[in-house]
Amino acid sequence: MTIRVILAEDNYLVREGLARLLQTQDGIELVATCGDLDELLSTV
Amino acid sequence: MVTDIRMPPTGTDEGVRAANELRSRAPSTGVVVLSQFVEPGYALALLEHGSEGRAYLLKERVSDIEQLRHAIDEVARGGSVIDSKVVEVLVEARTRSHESPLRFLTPREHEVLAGMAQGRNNAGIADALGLSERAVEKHINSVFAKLALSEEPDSHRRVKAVLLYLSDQS
Repeated sequence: MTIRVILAEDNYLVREGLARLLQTQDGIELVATCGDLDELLSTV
Repeated sequence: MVTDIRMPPTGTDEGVRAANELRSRAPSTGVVVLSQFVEPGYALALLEHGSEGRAYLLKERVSDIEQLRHAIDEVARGGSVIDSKVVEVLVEARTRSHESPLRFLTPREHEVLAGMAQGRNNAGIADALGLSERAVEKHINSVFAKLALSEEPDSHRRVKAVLLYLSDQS
């Protein structure tokens, strides 16, 4: 069963790094990345 | 949701707020908080509605994607993962408050001490609490006695009492 993940992180380097790491994971689907609270709450 | 804590707009507790929002909006969604620092206040705020489906990890201690993966898997099935360093800090804070000499103060004595920490003189404290100055002085003497502050000039004891109060607040 695939786990769908939203990533919220305002630091560009950390966000991109984490996104790529998560994308290497089987069973994890990175659905969206967000950089602030408003973006996060509207994405959820 | 994998989230940092501090984000725009305020850079304070956005991640924790979002996680708590999710309790009602999306109750079966797990949250992994990836924090730069051990911030016990935020850890407690994250867990105050329960630890089910919640993880608090420290960025500096995640050295392998497997650790993050494990936390994601855990919260997805309703489990929780709290970094042991965070647990340590929370337990230490609780132990400190249980051992603090401030635990012997009455509520009124706490209020008077808080007034001293705010830089008020006795008249100011009396005014703020609706007491006579004489009553404030009695409370202060009791505070000094309970905090075992030795026979020093009053100003030194006052500073020491305030320092004890402030270190207990952190």
